Amino acid sequence: MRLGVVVPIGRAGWPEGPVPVCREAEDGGLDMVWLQGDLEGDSPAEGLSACAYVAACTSTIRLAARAGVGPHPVLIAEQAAVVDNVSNGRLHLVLDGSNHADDVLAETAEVVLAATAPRPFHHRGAHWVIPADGHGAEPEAKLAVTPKPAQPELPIWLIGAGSVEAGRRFGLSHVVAEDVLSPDAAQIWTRTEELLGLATRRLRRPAVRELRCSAGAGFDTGELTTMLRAEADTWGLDLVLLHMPAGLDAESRLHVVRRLASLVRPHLQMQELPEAIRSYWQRELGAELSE
Amino acid sequence: MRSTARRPAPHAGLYRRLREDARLAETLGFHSLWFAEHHFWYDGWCPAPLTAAAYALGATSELRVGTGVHLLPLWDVATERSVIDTVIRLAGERLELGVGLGYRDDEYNGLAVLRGRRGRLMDAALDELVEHWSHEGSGPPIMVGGFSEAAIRRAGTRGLGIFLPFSLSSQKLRTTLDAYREQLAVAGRSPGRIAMLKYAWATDGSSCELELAQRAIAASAREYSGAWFPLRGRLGFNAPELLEKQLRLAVDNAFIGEPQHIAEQIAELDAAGVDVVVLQVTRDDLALDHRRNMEILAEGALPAVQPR
Repeated sequence: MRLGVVVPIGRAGWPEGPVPVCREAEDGGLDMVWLQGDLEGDSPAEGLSACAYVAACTSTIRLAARAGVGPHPVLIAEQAAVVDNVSNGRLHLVLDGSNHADDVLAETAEVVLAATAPRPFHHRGAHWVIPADGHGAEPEAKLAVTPKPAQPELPIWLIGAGSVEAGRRFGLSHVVAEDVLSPDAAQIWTRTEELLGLATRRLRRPAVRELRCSAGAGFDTGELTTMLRAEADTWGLDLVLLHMPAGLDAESRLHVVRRLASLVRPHLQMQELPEAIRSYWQRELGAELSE
Repeated sequence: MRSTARRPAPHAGLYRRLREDARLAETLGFHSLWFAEHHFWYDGWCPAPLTAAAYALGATSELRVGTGVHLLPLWDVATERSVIDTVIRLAGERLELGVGLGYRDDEYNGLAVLRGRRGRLMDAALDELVEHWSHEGSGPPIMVGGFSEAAIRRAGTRGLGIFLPFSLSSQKLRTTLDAYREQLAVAGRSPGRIAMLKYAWATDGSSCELELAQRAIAASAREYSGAWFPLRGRLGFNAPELLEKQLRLAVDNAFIGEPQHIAEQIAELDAAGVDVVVLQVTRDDLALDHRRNMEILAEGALPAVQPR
């Protein structure tokens, strides 16, 4: 299983900014940082601009940008392409349908897929016509969005209203949100398998999960590992983004990342590890990394 | 960040070079680094200058980074406002916002914005941004691109700065700044930042290097002037004599020569009232070494024009 952390960057972001945690996560071998703005606000492109900023300060960790739908999807595709290039192909674009009718996410996904593909395209939908009816001497019949992302297939995930249906329609992963429980996720993915068959295998199964800390940066690494394994067994969770609780200070956040890297991630790389090594780690590293 | 027919390159590599260029500009003591915006062109011209600016800000700690210019009427202003707030929150107050209307029909068609409404859209967007930042914290310095009467009025009546193109002669610069000051006076506003774009190429003073620089600047302007500019209703490449005239304008108004000479030309702009001279030291299709150019300009011209 892959492991990442959610990094808030809106008004409710962390005072030290996103970079320290992103660097710690990269250094510790975590797989992804997920940057998102204030979900209540009207700030769809915050995640993408924050990813561009973080890209300059990191070199290998994958960057997920949560981008709200609503703005012209070609502009979303263009910004995503720039972020993918500045990060040398590290972007996961997460389109968020929250606060909009289901069909807005579906149409946005359709356009972004076309706009990031290598061929010029045209589109007529309920919300957008691309290119619009032409002005000028020689209006173009099809639009070529440039530059293209660095990755030949930009990973696009969906979350929020309409994400499950749009995901099935376009063969994209939907992200199991924090408030969707394991049994519901299992139902969703079972239905997706029925509909898509073997093609489901190429879809990652990501989820956002809350990391529950007691005082300071303390959390039970064994309990977390067991919970994540259970979700993996129940519905195939294969990439988890952990959301740290509010109220931690900057140093505690770094400590949480170090504990995830040393005390959780190793347990999630195989189906089962010998009990002896688990107790050895607990003795040696548990004390070193205790809160 | 253009992969042109003349100088093809991978985009990811061009952006990596940008990070190094931004750090070099900071080390050399330049005031700022600027990004233009165009859409839907074969060379991958950066369509999202604020996104590129966020990256350059992430790579540096002191350097200011600006858009020169961001085509605001093509974008959703509420989104852009929140992006700018986010960038300032991440990078500190190092962002400069030059905005412009753009002129390519294909860009307006692609994003379903009526070109005929671009002035009104710009007015509404500027009002919203100014209003937002008058209530909530400080926004970036805003400069309105262009030198038409409408552009100068747009800036002057709101007390915003202006972002002038390279093609203004010194005579035209004077009359434009007079008109701007008149608008400010009528509106009872104090001036914003006055920025001006200039091609700049340092040479050893020899006629051979002069000719090389002139040829390269003409070549770099030829492609987009030829393919995009409507010259009396025709594309530049279909109106060769008008295109040559346009290129002459680029070459004649460029700063080419020994660093001392360029410093004097910058000082003239300074005396006329220009606050920021944005030197176009690189174009991706310019077959000259832009880093060497930056170093020579920093060593020979910067000390004479700014107290650092």
